[in-house]
Amino acid sequence: MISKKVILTGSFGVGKTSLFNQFVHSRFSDKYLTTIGVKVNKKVVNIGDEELSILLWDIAGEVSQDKVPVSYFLGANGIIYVFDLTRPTTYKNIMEDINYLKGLLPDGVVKIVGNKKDLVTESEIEGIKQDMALDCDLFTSAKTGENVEELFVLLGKEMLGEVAS
Amino acid sequence: MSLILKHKREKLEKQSQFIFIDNQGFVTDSCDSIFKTDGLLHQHIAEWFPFLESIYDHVAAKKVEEPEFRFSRLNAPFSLLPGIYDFVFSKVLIEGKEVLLWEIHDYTTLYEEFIRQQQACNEIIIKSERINAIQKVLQTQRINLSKRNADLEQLQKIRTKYYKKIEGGILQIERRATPHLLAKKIKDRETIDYITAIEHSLLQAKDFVEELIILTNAQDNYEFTEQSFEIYDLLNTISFRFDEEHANSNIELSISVHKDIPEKMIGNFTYLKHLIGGLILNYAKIIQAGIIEIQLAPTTIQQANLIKIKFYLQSYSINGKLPIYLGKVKRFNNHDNHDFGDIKSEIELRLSIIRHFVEQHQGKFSVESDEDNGVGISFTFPYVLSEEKL
Repeated sequence: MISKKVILTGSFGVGKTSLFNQFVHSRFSDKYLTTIGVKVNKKVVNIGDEELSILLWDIAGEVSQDKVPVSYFLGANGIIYVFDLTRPTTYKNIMEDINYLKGLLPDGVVKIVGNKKDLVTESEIEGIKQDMALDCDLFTSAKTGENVEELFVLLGKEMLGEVAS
Repeated sequence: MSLILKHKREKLEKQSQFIFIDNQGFVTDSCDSIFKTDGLLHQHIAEWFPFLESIYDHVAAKKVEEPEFRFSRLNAPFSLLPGIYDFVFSKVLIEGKEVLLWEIHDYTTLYEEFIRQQQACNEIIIKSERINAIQKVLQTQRINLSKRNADLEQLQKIRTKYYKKIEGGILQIERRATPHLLAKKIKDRETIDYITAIEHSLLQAKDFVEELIILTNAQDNYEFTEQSFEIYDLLNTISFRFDEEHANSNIELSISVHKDIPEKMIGNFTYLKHLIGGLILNYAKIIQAGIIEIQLAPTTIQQANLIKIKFYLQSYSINGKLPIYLGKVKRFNNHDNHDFGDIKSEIELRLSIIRHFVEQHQGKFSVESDEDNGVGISFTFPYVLSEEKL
Protein backbone atom coordinates (compact mmCIF):
# COMPACT_ATOMS: atom_id res chain seq x y z
CA MET A 1 0.00 0.00 0.00
CA ILE A 2 1.25 3.46 -0.82
CA SER A 3 1.72 5.72 2.17
CA LYS A 4 1.80 9.55 2.07
CA LYS A 5 2.49 12.04 4.80
CA VAL A 6 0.16 15.04 4.93
CA ILE A 7 0.57 18.11 7.15
CA LEU A 8 -2.47 20.00 8.42
CA THR A 9 -1.34 23.54 9.10
CA GLY A 10 -2.64 27.09 9.47
CA SER A 11 -3.33 29.60 12.22
CA PHE A 12 -4.64 28.45 15.59
CA GLY A 13 -8.36 27.93 16.12
CA VAL A 14 -9.16 27.46 12.41
CA GLY A 15 -10.39 23.89 12.89
CA LYS A 16 -7.43 21.73 11.87
CA THR A 17 -8.00 19.24 14.68
CA SER A 18 -11.72 19.22 13.92
CA LEU A 19 -10.97 18.37 10.29
CA PHE A 20 -8.53 15.71 11.53
CA ASN A 21 -11.14 14.21 13.87
CA GLN A 22 -13.89 14.40 11.26
CA PHE A 23 -11.68 12.71 8.67
CA VAL A 24 -10.13 10.05 10.92
CA HIS A 25 -12.86 9.38 13.47
CA SER A 26 -15.99 10.94 11.86
CA ARG A 27 -16.65 13.00 14.98
CA PHE A 28 -16.93 16.68 15.85
CA SER A 29 -16.96 18.74 19.02
CA ASP A 30 -17.97 22.42 19.27
CA LYS A 31 -15.55 22.91 22.15
CA TYR A 32 -12.29 24.55 21.17
CA LEU A 33 -9.30 22.74 22.62
CA THR A 34 -5.90 23.92 21.50
CA THR A 35 -3.39 21.47 20.04
CA ILE A 36 0.00 21.23 21.66
CA GLY A 37 2.84 20.19 19.39
CA VAL A 38 1.67 17.64 16.88
CA LYS A 39 -0.74 14.73 16.70
CA VAL A 40 -0.29 11.97 14.15
CA ASN A 41 -2.83 9.47 12.89
CA LYS A 42 -3.41 7.29 9.90
CA LYS A 43 -6.35 6.58 7.63
CA VAL A 44 -6.67 4.53 4.49
CA VAL A 45 -8.67 6.07 1.66
CA ASN A 46 -9.68 4.54 -1.62
CA ILE A 47 -8.57 6.43 -4.66
CA GLY A 48 -10.27 4.64 -7.49
CA ASP A 49 -9.04 1.06 -7.30
CA GLU A 50 -6.04 2.00 -5.21
CA GLU A 51 -5.69 2.16 -1.43
CA LEU A 52 -3.75 5.08 -0.04
CA SER A 53 -2.57 5.29 3.55
CA ILE A 54 -2.60 8.90 4.65
CA LEU A 55 -0.36 9.71 7.61
CA LEU A 56 -1.90 12.88 8.85
CA TRP A 57 0.08 15.31 11.00
CA ASP A 58 -2.12 17.77 12.83
CA ILE A 59 0.24 20.44 14.04
CA ALA A 60 -0.33 23.23 16.55
CA GLY A 61 -1.53 26.41 14.85
CA GLU A 62 0.82 29.30 14.37
CA VAL A 63 0.01 32.83 13.22
CA SER A 64 2.85 32.61 10.73
CA GLN A 65 4.08 29.40 9.08
CA ASP A 66 7.75 30.23 9.56
CA LYS A 67 7.20 29.59 13.28
CA VAL A 68 6.33 25.92 12.66
CA PRO A 69 9.37 23.66 13.30
CA VAL A 70 10.85 22.72 9.92
CA SER A 71 11.40 19.12 11.08
CA TYR A 72 7.63 18.59 10.97
CA PHE A 73 7.69 18.90 7.18
CA LEU A 74 10.31 16.19 6.83
CA GLY A 75 9.18 13.61 4.31
CA ALA A 76 5.80 15.25 3.75
CA ASN A 77 4.04 14.72 0.44
CA GLY A 78 1.17 17.10 0.92
CA ILE A 79 0.11 20.13 2.93
CA ILE A 80 -3.39 21.26 3.79
CA TYR A 81 -3.34 24.95 4.68
CA VAL A 82 -6.49 25.69 6.65
CA PHE A 83 -7.98 29.11 7.40
CA ASP A 84 -11.13 30.17 9.20
CA LEU A 85 -13.77 31.74 6.97
CA THR A 86 -15.06 33.77 9.93
CA ARG A 87 -11.65 35.27 10.86
CA PRO A 88 -9.91 37.44 8.24
CA THR A 89 -6.70 37.43 10.29
CA THR A 90 -6.30 33.73 9.48
CA TYR A 91 -5.95 34.38 5.74
CA LYS A 92 -4.41 37.83 5.62
CA ASN A 93 -0.86 36.38 5.31
CA ILE A 94 -1.86 33.54 3.02
CA MET A 95 0.42 34.57 0.16
CA GLU A 96 3.54 34.67 2.36
CA ASP A 97 2.57 31.44 4.14
CA ILE A 98 1.94 29.49 0.94
CA ASN A 99 5.15 30.75 -0.66
CA TYR A 100 7.04 29.67 2.45
CA LEU A 101 5.42 26.21 2.47
CA LYS A 102 6.05 25.68 -1.24
CA GLY A 103 9.67 26.60 -0.59
CA LEU A 104 9.87 23.89 2.09
CA LEU A 105 8.12 21.32 -0.05
CA PRO A 106 8.75 22.17 -3.71
CA ASP A 107 7.41 18.84 -5.01
CA GLY A 108 4.55 18.53 -2.54
CA VAL A 109 0.87 19.12 -3.14
CA VAL A 110 -0.55 22.15 -1.30
CA LYS A 111 -4.27 22.60 -0.79
CA ILE A 112 -5.84 25.79 0.55
CA VAL A 113 -8.98 25.17 2.55
CA GLY A 114 -11.51 27.62 4.02
CA ASN A 115 -13.08 25.90 7.02
CA LYS A 116 -16.24 26.64 9.11
CA LYS A 117 -18.37 26.92 5.98
CA ASP A 118 -21.44 26.26 8.13
CA LEU A 119 -20.95 29.66 9.81
CA VAL A 120 -21.00 31.82 6.65
CA THR A 121 -23.37 32.46 3.78
CA GLU A 122 -22.61 31.86 0.11
CA SER A 123 -22.46 35.62 -0.52
CA GLU A 124 -19.98 36.02 2.35
CA ILE A 125 -17.84 33.31 0.77
CA GLU A 126 -17.93 35.25 -2.50
CA GLY A 127 -16.74 38.35 -0.63
CA ILE A 128 -13.91 36.40 1.01
CA LYS A 129 -12.82 35.04 -2.40
CA GLN A 130 -12.55 38.63 -3.63
CA ASP A 131 -10.49 39.64 -0.58
CA MET A 132 -8.06 36.74 -0.80
CA ALA A 133 -4.72 37.00 -2.53
CA LEU A 134 -4.89 33.37 -3.66
CA ASP A 135 -7.56 30.98 -4.89
CA CYS A 136 -8.99 28.58 -2.36
CA ASP A 137 -9.25 24.91 -3.34
CA LEU A 138 -12.17 23.91 -1.15
CA PHE A 139 -14.55 25.25 1.49
CA THR A 140 -15.19 22.74 4.23
CA SER A 141 -17.20 22.31 7.38
CA ALA A 142 -15.62 20.01 9.92
CA LYS A 143 -18.88 20.31 11.83
CA THR A 144 -21.19 18.99 9.12
CA GLY A 145 -18.51 17.00 7.33
CA GLU A 146 -19.12 18.92 4.10
CA ASN A 147 -16.24 18.47 1.64
CA VAL A 148 -13.97 16.84 4.26
CA GLU A 149 -13.75 13.41 2.61
CA GLU A 150 -13.66 15.14 -0.79
CA LEU A 151 -10.66 17.18 0.36
CA PHE A 152 -8.60 14.11 1.20
CA VAL A 153 -9.65 12.24 -1.91
CA LEU A 154 -8.68 15.23 -4.06
CA LEU A 155 -5.37 15.56 -2.24
CA GLY A 156 -4.78 11.80 -2.52
CA LYS A 157 -5.41 11.84 -6.27
CA GLU A 158 -2.96 14.69 -6.75
CA MET A 159 -0.32 13.03 -4.58
CA LEU A 160 -0.70 9.85 -6.64
CA GLY A 161 -0.44 11.91 -9.78
CA GLU A 162 -3.92 11.00 -11.00
CA VAL A 163 -4.89 14.64 -11.20
CA ALA A 164 -2.58 17.50 -12.07
CA SER A 165 -2.13 19.80 -9.07
CA MET B 1 26.59 7.32 45.10
CA SER B 2 24.98 9.83 47.43
CA LEU B 3 21.31 9.47 48.24
CA ILE B 4 20.43 12.72 46.52
CA LEU B 5 22.14 11.69 43.29
CA LYS B 6 20.48 8.27 43.47
CA HIS B 7 17.11 9.88 43.97
CA LYS B 8 17.73 12.31 41.12
CA ARG B 9 18.77 9.53 38.74
CA GLU B 10 15.76 7.41 39.59
CA LYS B 11 13.40 10.32 39.03
CA LEU B 12 14.96 11.50 35.76
CA GLU B 13 15.32 7.97 34.43
CA LYS B 14 11.54 7.64 34.35
CA GLN B 15 11.25 10.75 32.21
CA SER B 16 13.47 9.68 29.33
CA GLN B 17 14.14 6.61 27.26
CA PHE B 18 17.09 6.02 24.95
CA ILE B 19 16.88 3.46 22.13
CA PHE B 20 19.60 2.30 19.72
CA ILE B 21 18.47 1.29 16.25
CA ASP B 22 20.71 -0.44 13.73
CA ASN B 23 20.94 0.22 10.00
CA GLN B 24 18.22 -2.32 9.33
CA GLY B 25 15.70 -0.46 11.48
CA PHE B 26 15.73 -2.93 14.41
CA VAL B 27 16.13 -2.07 18.08
CA THR B 28 19.51 -3.23 19.41
CA ASP B 29 19.30 -1.75 22.87
CA SER B 30 16.87 0.26 25.01
CA CYS B 31 16.75 1.39 28.64
CA ASP B 32 12.96 0.80 28.60
CA SER B 33 12.23 3.57 31.11
CA ILE B 34 8.96 4.56 29.45
CA PHE B 35 7.88 1.46 27.56
CA LYS B 36 9.18 -2.08 27.03
CA THR B 37 10.72 -2.88 23.68
CA ASP B 38 11.45 -6.59 24.14
CA GLY B 39 8.27 -7.64 22.39
CA LEU B 40 9.16 -5.54 19.38
CA LEU B 41 12.74 -6.59 18.89
CA HIS B 42 12.14 -8.45 15.66
CA GLN B 43 10.03 -5.76 14.03
CA HIS B 44 11.09 -2.75 12.02
CA ILE B 45 10.48 0.29 14.21
CA ALA B 46 8.66 2.10 11.39
CA GLU B 47 5.92 -0.51 11.76
CA TRP B 48 5.35 0.40 15.39
CA PHE B 49 3.85 3.84 15.11
CA PRO B 50 2.41 5.90 12.30
CA PHE B 51 4.62 8.75 13.42
CA LEU B 52 7.85 6.81 12.81
CA GLU B 53 6.51 5.40 9.56
CA SER B 54 6.26 8.88 8.12
CA ILE B 55 9.81 10.00 8.99
CA TYR B 56 11.95 6.92 9.35
CA ASP B 57 13.63 7.01 5.93
CA HIS B 58 14.79 10.58 6.57
CA VAL B 59 16.12 10.11 10.09
CA ALA B 60 17.85 6.83 9.12
CA ALA B 61 19.72 8.61 6.33
CA LYS B 62 21.26 11.08 8.76
CA LYS B 63 25.03 11.32 9.23
CA VAL B 64 26.87 11.52 12.55
CA GLU B 65 28.04 15.05 11.91
CA GLU B 66 24.58 16.31 11.00
CA PRO B 67 22.48 18.06 13.63
CA GLU B 68 19.82 16.08 15.44
CA PHE B 69 16.16 16.03 14.39
CA ARG B 70 13.90 17.20 17.19
CA PHE B 71 10.14 16.74 17.23
CA SER B 72 8.69 18.64 20.13
CA ARG B 73 5.50 18.01 22.05
CA LEU B 74 4.19 15.00 20.17
CA ASN B 75 0.66 14.41 21.27
CA ALA B 76 0.04 10.72 22.05
CA PRO B 77 2.41 9.24 19.46
CA PHE B 78 2.03 5.85 21.15
CA SER B 79 -1.53 4.68 20.89
CA LEU B 80 -1.29 2.63 24.10
CA LEU B 81 0.60 5.28 26.02
CA PRO B 82 -1.19 8.63 26.01
CA GLY B 83 0.89 11.67 26.84
CA ILE B 84 3.15 14.37 25.46
CA TYR B 85 6.66 13.46 24.33
CA ASP B 86 9.65 14.99 22.58
CA PHE B 87 11.46 12.74 20.09
CA VAL B 88 15.06 13.44 19.20
CA PHE B 89 16.88 11.48 16.51
CA SER B 90 20.62 11.58 15.97
CA LYS B 91 23.34 9.34 14.60
CA VAL B 92 26.02 8.35 17.11
CA LEU B 93 29.13 6.15 16.98
CA ILE B 94 29.01 3.12 19.28
CA GLU B 95 32.12 0.98 19.25
CA GLY B 96 33.04 2.37 15.84
CA LYS B 97 29.61 1.68 14.36
CA GLU B 98 27.01 4.26 13.33
CA VAL B 99 23.72 3.68 15.11
CA LEU B 100 20.55 5.69 15.26
CA LEU B 101 19.80 7.07 18.72
CA TRP B 102 16.16 7.69 19.47
CA GLU B 103 15.61 9.77 22.60
CA ILE B 104 12.12 9.95 24.07
CA HIS B 105 11.44 12.63 26.68
CA ASP B 106 8.19 12.49 28.57
CA TYR B 107 6.41 15.81 29.27
CA THR B 108 3.05 14.30 30.08
CA THR B 109 2.97 15.75 33.60
CA LEU B 110 3.28 19.22 32.11
CA TYR B 111 0.60 18.62 29.51
CA GLU B 112 -2.31 20.14 31.46
CA GLU B 113 -0.27 23.26 32.16
CA PHE B 114 0.80 23.54 28.49
CA ILE B 115 -2.80 23.24 27.39
CA ARG B 116 -4.08 25.72 29.98
CA GLN B 117 -1.55 28.38 29.04
CA GLN B 118 -1.80 27.91 25.29
CA GLN B 119 -5.60 27.76 25.39
CA ALA B 120 -5.85 30.97 27.42
CA CYS B 121 -3.45 32.73 25.08
CA ASN B 122 -5.28 31.61 21.91
CA GLU B 123 -8.69 32.49 23.29
CA ILE B 124 -7.55 36.00 24.20
CA ILE B 125 -6.20 36.52 20.68
CA ILE B 126 -9.40 35.20 19.06
CA LYS B 127 -11.53 37.46 21.29
CA SER B 128 -9.41 40.50 20.47
CA GLU B 129 -9.70 39.65 16.76
CA ARG B 130 -13.48 39.65 17.07
CA ILE B 131 -13.47 42.96 18.97
CA ASN B 132 -11.24 44.48 16.28
CA ALA B 133 -13.57 43.20 13.57
CA ILE B 134 -16.60 44.75 15.31
CA GLN B 135 -14.73 48.02 15.77
CA LYS B 136 -13.84 48.05 12.08
CA VAL B 137 -17.48 47.56 11.09
CA LEU B 138 -18.59 50.36 13.43
CA GLN B 139 -15.86 52.63 12.11
CA THR B 140 -16.95 51.94 8.52
CA GLN B 141 -20.56 52.63 9.46
CA ARG B 142 -19.54 55.91 11.09
CA ILE B 143 -17.54 56.95 8.04
CA ASN B 144 -20.41 56.02 5.70
CA LEU B 145 -22.90 57.89 7.83
CA SER B 146 -20.82 61.04 8.02
CA LYS B 147 -20.14 60.79 4.27
CA ARG B 148 -23.85 60.39 3.65
CA ASN B 149 -24.65 63.31 5.92
CA ALA B 150 -22.12 65.44 4.06
CA ASP B 151 -23.64 64.38 0.72
CA LEU B 152 -27.13 65.14 1.97
CA GLU B 153 -26.05 68.50 3.26
CA GLN B 154 -24.49 69.30 -0.09
CA LEU B 155 -27.59 68.10 -1.93
CA GLN B 156 -29.79 70.14 0.35
CA LYS B 157 -27.75 73.25 -0.35
CA ILE B 158 -28.05 72.71 -4.08
CA ARG B 159 -31.79 72.08 -3.85
CA THR B 160 -32.39 75.08 -1.63
CA LYS B 161 -30.37 77.26 -3.97
CA TYR B 162 -32.31 75.93 -6.94
CA TYR B 163 -35.71 76.42 -5.34
CA LYS B 164 -34.73 79.86 -4.14
CA LYS B 165 -33.88 80.73 -7.72
CA ILE B 166 -37.32 79.62 -8.87
CA GLU B 167 -38.89 81.50 -6.02
CA GLY B 168 -36.83 84.59 -6.90
CA GLY B 169 -37.92 84.31 -10.52
CA ILE B 170 -41.57 84.13 -9.55
CA LEU B 171 -41.21 87.11 -7.26
CA GLN B 172 -39.54 89.11 -10.02
CA ILE B 173 -42.44 88.43 -12.38
CA GLU B 174 -44.83 89.36 -9.63
CA ARG B 175 -43.02 92.58 -8.74
CA ARG B 176 -42.12 93.77 -12.21
CA ALA B 177 -44.72 92.48 -14.60
CA THR B 178 -47.82 93.19 -12.55
CA PRO B 179 -47.14 96.89 -11.78
CA HIS B 180 -45.98 97.30 -15.37
CA LEU B 181 -49.25 96.02 -16.68
CA LEU B 182 -51.19 98.06 -14.15
CA ALA B 183 -49.23 101.18 -15.10
CA LYS B 184 -50.76 100.96 -18.55
CA LYS B 185 -54.01 101.82 -16.80
CA ILE B 186 -55.85 98.84 -17.98
CA LYS B 187 -59.34 99.37 -16.89
CA ASP B 188 -61.31 96.65 -18.48
CA ARG B 189 -62.56 94.15 -15.97
CA GLU B 190 -61.48 91.04 -17.92
CA THR B 191 -57.79 92.05 -18.07
CA ILE B 192 -57.69 93.04 -14.40
CA ASP B 193 -59.22 89.69 -13.44
CA TYR B 194 -56.67 88.00 -15.67
CA ILE B 195 -53.75 89.82 -14.01
CA THR B 196 -55.15 89.09 -10.55
CA ALA B 197 -55.42 85.42 -11.44
CA ILE B 198 -51.79 85.38 -12.63
CA GLU B 199 -50.72 87.10 -9.41
CA HIS B 200 -52.64 84.58 -7.34
CA SER B 201 -51.18 81.67 -9.28
CA LEU B 202 -47.65 83.02 -8.82
CA LEU B 203 -48.15 83.35 -5.08
CA GLN B 204 -49.47 79.83 -4.96
CA ALA B 205 -46.48 78.59 -6.98
CA LYS B 206 -44.18 80.35 -4.51
CA ASP B 207 -45.90 78.56 -1.61
CA PHE B 208 -45.55 75.25 -3.41
CA VAL B 209 -41.84 75.84 -3.84
CA GLU B 210 -41.53 76.53 -0.12
CA GLU B 211 -43.36 73.31 0.60
CA LEU B 212 -41.08 71.40 -1.75
CA ILE B 213 -38.02 72.73 0.09
CA ILE B 214 -39.45 71.45 3.38
CA LEU B 215 -40.48 68.16 1.79
CA THR B 216 -37.01 67.45 0.39
CA ASN B 217 -35.38 68.39 3.68
CA ALA B 218 -37.73 66.06 5.53
CA GLN B 219 -37.09 63.26 3.03
CA ASP B 220 -33.35 63.57 3.58
CA ASN B 221 -33.74 63.36 7.32
CA TYR B 222 -36.18 60.50 7.08
CA GLU B 223 -33.26 58.16 6.42
CA PHE B 224 -31.55 58.91 9.71
CA THR B 225 -31.43 56.08 12.18
CA GLU B 226 -33.47 56.03 15.37
CA GLN B 227 -31.70 56.85 18.57
CA SER B 228 -32.31 57.63 22.19
CA PHE B 229 -33.43 61.21 22.77
CA GLU B 230 -34.93 63.36 25.51
CA ILE B 231 -38.39 64.70 24.83
CA TYR B 232 -37.50 68.06 26.42
CA ASP B 233 -34.56 68.41 24.05
CA LEU B 234 -36.99 68.08 21.18
CA LEU B 235 -39.43 70.61 22.59
CA ASN B 236 -36.66 73.06 23.51
CA THR B 237 -35.28 72.86 19.98
CA ILE B 238 -38.72 73.52 18.48
CA SER B 239 -39.38 76.35 20.90
CA PHE B 240 -35.97 77.93 20.25
CA ARG B 241 -36.50 77.79 16.50
CA PHE B 242 -39.97 79.30 16.87
CA ASP B 243 -38.60 82.19 18.97
CA GLU B 244 -35.95 82.85 16.33
CA GLU B 245 -38.36 82.87 13.41
CA HIS B 246 -41.32 84.61 15.03
CA ALA B 247 -39.65 87.05 17.41
CA ASN B 248 -41.61 90.03 16.04
CA SER B 249 -44.84 88.26 15.20
CA ASN B 250 -48.11 88.17 17.08
CA ILE B 251 -48.06 84.40 17.37
CA GLU B 252 -47.58 82.70 20.66
CA LEU B 253 -46.34 79.11 21.13
CA SER B 254 -47.67 77.11 24.04
CA ILE B 255 -46.35 73.64 24.93
CA SER B 256 -47.81 71.20 27.42
CA VAL B 257 -46.54 67.70 28.27
CA HIS B 258 -48.57 65.12 30.17
CA LYS B 259 -46.94 63.88 33.40
CA ASP B 260 -46.88 60.28 32.13
CA ILE B 261 -44.73 61.08 29.10
CA PRO B 262 -41.29 59.48 29.70
CA GLU B 263 -38.31 61.79 29.56
CA LYS B 264 -36.29 59.49 27.31
CA MET B 265 -37.33 57.36 24.38
CA ILE B 266 -36.00 55.94 21.14
CA GLY B 267 -37.06 57.54 17.87
CA ASN B 268 -36.06 59.81 15.02
CA PHE B 269 -35.29 63.11 16.67
CA THR B 270 -34.43 64.95 13.44
CA TYR B 271 -37.55 63.77 11.69
CA LEU B 272 -39.86 64.83 14.54
CA LYS B 273 -38.15 68.22 14.74
CA HIS B 274 -38.85 68.82 11.04
CA LEU B 275 -42.38 67.49 11.25
CA ILE B 276 -43.51 69.68 14.13
CA GLY B 277 -41.43 72.63 12.95
CA GLY B 278 -43.03 72.40 9.52
CA LEU B 279 -46.54 72.31 10.96
CA ILE B 280 -45.87 75.37 13.10
CA LEU B 281 -44.53 77.21 10.07
CA ASN B 282 -47.64 76.22 8.15
CA TYR B 283 -49.96 77.49 10.86
CA ALA B 284 -48.01 80.65 11.34
CA LYS B 285 -48.25 81.54 7.67
CA ILE B 286 -52.03 81.36 7.78
CA ILE B 287 -53.10 82.71 11.12
CA GLN B 288 -50.49 85.50 11.33
CA ALA B 289 -51.76 86.33 14.80
CA GLY B 290 -52.95 83.85 17.41
CA ILE B 291 -51.89 80.88 19.49
CA ILE B 292 -50.28 77.60 18.45
CA GLU B 293 -50.52 74.97 21.08
CA ILE B 294 -48.56 71.69 21.22
CA GLN B 295 -49.80 68.98 23.53
CA LEU B 296 -48.07 65.67 24.20
CA ALA B 297 -50.06 62.93 25.86
CA PRO B 298 -49.65 59.14 26.11
CA THR B 299 -52.23 56.81 24.65
CA THR B 300 -52.62 53.13 25.51
CA ILE B 301 -49.41 51.47 26.64
CA GLN B 302 -49.21 48.19 24.72
CA GLN B 303 -46.00 46.70 26.04
CA ALA B 304 -43.69 47.28 28.98
CA ASN B 305 -41.09 49.13 26.94
CA LEU B 306 -43.40 50.70 24.34
CA ILE B 307 -45.48 53.84 24.57
CA LYS B 308 -47.75 55.52 22.06
CA ILE B 309 -47.53 59.27 22.16
CA LYS B 310 -50.06 61.61 20.67
CA PHE B 311 -48.73 64.91 19.37
CA TYR B 312 -51.57 67.41 19.12
CA LEU B 313 -51.17 70.81 17.52
CA GLN B 314 -53.98 73.31 17.81
CA SER B 315 -54.19 76.77 16.32
CA TYR B 316 -56.46 79.65 17.16
CA SER B 317 -56.67 82.70 14.94
CA ILE B 318 -56.99 86.19 16.29
CA ASN B 319 -57.39 88.26 13.14
CA GLY B 320 -59.99 86.14 11.42
CA LYS B 321 -57.83 84.51 8.77
CA LEU B 322 -58.48 81.03 10.10
CA PRO B 323 -61.59 80.42 7.95
CA ILE B 324 -59.40 80.34 4.81
CA TYR B 325 -57.36 77.63 6.46
CA LEU B 326 -60.49 75.82 7.59
CA GLY B 327 -61.74 75.67 4.00
CA LYS B 328 -58.51 74.16 2.77
CA VAL B 329 -58.40 71.64 5.62
CA LYS B 330 -61.99 70.72 4.86
CA ARG B 331 -61.05 70.11 1.23
CA PHE B 332 -58.06 67.99 2.38
CA ASN B 333 -60.36 65.84 4.50
CA ASN B 334 -62.95 65.43 1.76
CA HIS B 335 -60.67 64.47 -1.14
CA ASP B 336 -58.53 61.45 -1.84
CA ASN B 337 -55.01 62.85 -1.79
CA HIS B 338 -53.02 59.88 -0.54
CA ASP B 339 -51.07 59.74 -3.78
CA PHE B 340 -50.65 63.56 -3.85
CA GLY B 341 -52.95 63.65 -6.88
CA ASP B 342 -55.91 65.91 -6.11
CA ILE B 343 -54.22 68.81 -4.34
CA LYS B 344 -55.18 72.42 -4.87
CA SER B 345 -53.24 74.32 -2.24
CA GLU B 346 -49.91 74.29 -0.46
CA ILE B 347 -51.75 73.56 2.80
CA GLU B 348 -53.18 70.36 1.34
CA LEU B 349 -49.73 69.47 0.00
CA ARG B 350 -48.16 70.04 3.43
CA LEU B 351 -50.80 67.97 5.21
CA SER B 352 -50.46 65.18 2.63
CA ILE B 353 -46.70 65.15 3.09
CA ILE B 354 -47.00 64.97 6.87
CA ARG B 355 -49.59 62.22 6.71
CA HIS B 356 -47.35 60.30 4.30
CA PHE B 357 -44.39 60.44 6.71
CA VAL B 358 -46.46 59.70 9.81
CA GLU B 359 -47.95 56.60 8.19
CA GLN B 360 -44.52 55.47 7.03
CA HIS B 361 -43.47 55.60 10.69
CA GLN B 362 -46.40 53.32 11.67
CA GLY B 363 -48.19 56.34 13.07
CA LYS B 364 -51.75 57.63 12.74
CA PHE B 365 -52.68 61.05 11.44
CA SER B 366 -55.88 63.10 11.57
CA VAL B 367 -57.03 66.70 11.10
CA GLU B 368 -60.03 68.26 12.79
CA SER B 369 -61.37 71.72 12.19
CA ASP B 370 -64.28 73.91 13.14
CA GLU B 371 -64.81 77.62 13.39
CA ASP B 372 -65.13 77.64 17.16
CA ASN B 373 -62.15 75.50 18.05
CA GLY B 374 -59.75 76.26 15.20
CA VAL B 375 -57.71 73.59 13.51
CA GLY B 376 -56.30 70.62 15.35
CA ILE B 377 -53.81 68.20 13.85
CA SER B 378 -52.93 65.09 15.75
CA PHE B 379 -50.48 62.32 15.02
CA THR B 380 -49.65 59.30 17.12
CA PHE B 381 -46.42 57.26 17.08
CA PRO B 382 -45.32 54.16 18.95
CA TYR B 383 -42.06 54.76 20.81
CA VAL B 384 -39.66 52.38 22.46
CA LEU B 385 -38.67 53.59 25.90
CA SER B 386 -34.98 54.22 26.24
CA GLU B 387 -33.12 52.08 28.79
CA GLU B 388 -30.44 54.69 29.22
CA LYS B 389 -30.37 56.34 32.61
CA LEU B 390 -30.93 60.04 32.77
